[in-house]
Amino acid sequence: MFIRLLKEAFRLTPAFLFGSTGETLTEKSGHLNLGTPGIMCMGVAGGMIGINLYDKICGGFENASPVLTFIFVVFFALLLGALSGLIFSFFTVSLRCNQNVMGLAYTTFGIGFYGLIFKTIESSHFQSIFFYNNYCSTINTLFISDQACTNNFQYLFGANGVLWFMSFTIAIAVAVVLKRTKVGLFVRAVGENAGCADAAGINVSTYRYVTTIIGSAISALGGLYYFVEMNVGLLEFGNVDAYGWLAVALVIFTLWKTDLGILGAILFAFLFKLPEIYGLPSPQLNMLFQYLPYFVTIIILVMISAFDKKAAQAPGNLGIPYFREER
Amino acid sequence: MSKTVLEKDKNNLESNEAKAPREKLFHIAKRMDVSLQYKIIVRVISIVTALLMCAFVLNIFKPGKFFTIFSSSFNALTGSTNKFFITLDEFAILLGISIAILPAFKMKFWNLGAEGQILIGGLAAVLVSKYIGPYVPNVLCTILMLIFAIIAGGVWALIPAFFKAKFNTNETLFTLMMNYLAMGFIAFFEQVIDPAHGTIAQLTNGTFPDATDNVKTIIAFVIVVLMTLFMFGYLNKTKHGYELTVVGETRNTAKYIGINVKAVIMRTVVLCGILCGIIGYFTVLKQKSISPNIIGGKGFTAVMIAWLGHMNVVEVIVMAFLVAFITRGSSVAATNVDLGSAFTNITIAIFLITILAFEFFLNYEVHFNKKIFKSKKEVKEVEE
Repeated sequence: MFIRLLKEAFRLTPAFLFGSTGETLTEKSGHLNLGTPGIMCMGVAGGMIGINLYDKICGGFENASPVLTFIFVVFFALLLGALSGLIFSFFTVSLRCNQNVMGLAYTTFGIGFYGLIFKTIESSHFQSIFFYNNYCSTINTLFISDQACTNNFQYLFGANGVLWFMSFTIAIAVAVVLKRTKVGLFVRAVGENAGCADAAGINVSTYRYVTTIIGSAISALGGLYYFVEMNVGLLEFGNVDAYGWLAVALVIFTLWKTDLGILGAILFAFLFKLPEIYGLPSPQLNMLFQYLPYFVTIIILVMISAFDKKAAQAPGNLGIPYFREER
Repeated sequence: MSKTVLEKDKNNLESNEAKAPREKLFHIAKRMDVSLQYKIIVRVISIVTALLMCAFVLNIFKPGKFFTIFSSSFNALTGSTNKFFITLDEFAILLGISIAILPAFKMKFWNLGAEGQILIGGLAAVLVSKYIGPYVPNVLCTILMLIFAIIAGGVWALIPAFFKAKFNTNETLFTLMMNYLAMGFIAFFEQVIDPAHGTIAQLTNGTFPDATDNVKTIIAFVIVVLMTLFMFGYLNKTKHGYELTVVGETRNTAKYIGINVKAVIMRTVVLCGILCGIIGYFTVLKQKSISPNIIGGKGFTAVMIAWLGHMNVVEVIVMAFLVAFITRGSSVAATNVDLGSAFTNITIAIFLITILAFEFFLNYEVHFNKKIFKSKKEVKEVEE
């Protein structure tokens, strides 16, 4: 039973981890991108568009190759994610719009876009559910299935898709880049004090553009993971944005560190799945447990502000647009 | 001879340009004094562009349906009595929430938690109706519902405000999380009240089951109008309104002129919570029940309305009306051309994002580098 819980929790982890890694990278450069839930929805939309296009090219899933399907979905998810980041940073960096308002508007847009693509494709393919399911299961045949596993280790870590491994790799890579490289130092400088960074000759706009675009592309993979590997193409409309808000919560929970983010994402997934697998003594407790991650995040938020420890704080210029003349 | 000189000049100019790569084509400056006329012109252009953008998006998905969104909007407004009341309800709720969060935004307190405050207020009303309702007369029950909704909304808003005042905790993320906690509480009580179904059945006590929905919409609308008038007076004519504006502008100035900043923060945000509680109360009155998704993200839409309305009551009314208008229009249009309810989200987002983009022209002005343009022009003229 416990092994099954762990497995389910591991399975859910990347849905949070991609989102929080992308959002952390964006927030480190001083951008509070509340559009992350919307961008994750765009990732799902990208996956759907990719599968649809590939379907037209190869003509039916019987001829589909798993690798090409995978390349198509990931390419379109990354493309839509990066495009979202570009739009977001054009508004907040170049036009200096308010980041919170733009983020919320973009979330609304993303949810709508995802629903619309879902609806449009559904009406063109009669049995859309099986349509996506077929393709997504092709991708998953790249690896051993749950049933074929011989031991627990294989069951927990081996029987997962490419995106699953990608999520952990990217989280660690982002942590290393932010902590150990010159570029990472510049990104952090821009986020902490854009004025200072500008005076030191760092191009604030470029850094903010690039980090937001890369961060959004990573976040979009979170939505794609949920669609392709976790739910294998079976979708219920309106779930993705809930994961998105949890990903935003996770950024605070892990104190803006993506390596800690891995543990945080596993914990969130664990709390999320615990009532479902174990079946707590009463349905009431079940419900409360589902919302526990939000509560824990609030506690963390209060604690970091109450103890006022410098290393644990949010980036200094988080949410503040930079305009040189206003210094 | 003249020709060679000219060529030389031209070459010189070009080489100068090449030597000075830092010369930018334009630069952006803050707009200092903006006349009312300019503001109104920019606003009107932005709204017209935003409406056209919405129509354009519909045209992309369903070619040839460019004007459908406008005709549907007017149809939703004037088509039939029922349609009119649905639009009125949408408008009343959007305006109500925007007005409720207005003082917090004027104080630069990012209250994204309107949805949670409404839900908790509504939940309190539901619980009163469920557990106290059977033992008291109907009128008393509904009054108690209102009172408890106000208290619950206020307390829910006080929590982030307290930590903001005490520790300067980031209120944007705090209030955002509080929304989901409120949803969690509702999901919890749904299970407590009816474990078999997990939903709250239609309430009878204190919700006026005999009154029609239209009457309730009118009541809600009247309450919202009163709230709007109150807020106009509160922000512009009272000491409280002045104090919260100063706190919003600069906290230190407020401190030095003797304003108790912490008290002002808590007082203002609790006021937001109270107004949200009232909205929660009449939502329950109309729906006779509550569920986690009953507000459906209108709290966020209201944030955008309040911000794009520049925290000014009159502008907020106009914005709320336009958003309600376009929401209803796109939802009617989406059913007509078979696009699904998600299309409404897209139009609202496109509408608000377009207006947001035009904010740039209110706050900044673009200066083109005359030197570069002139020199190019001169060269051209001489060539001719």
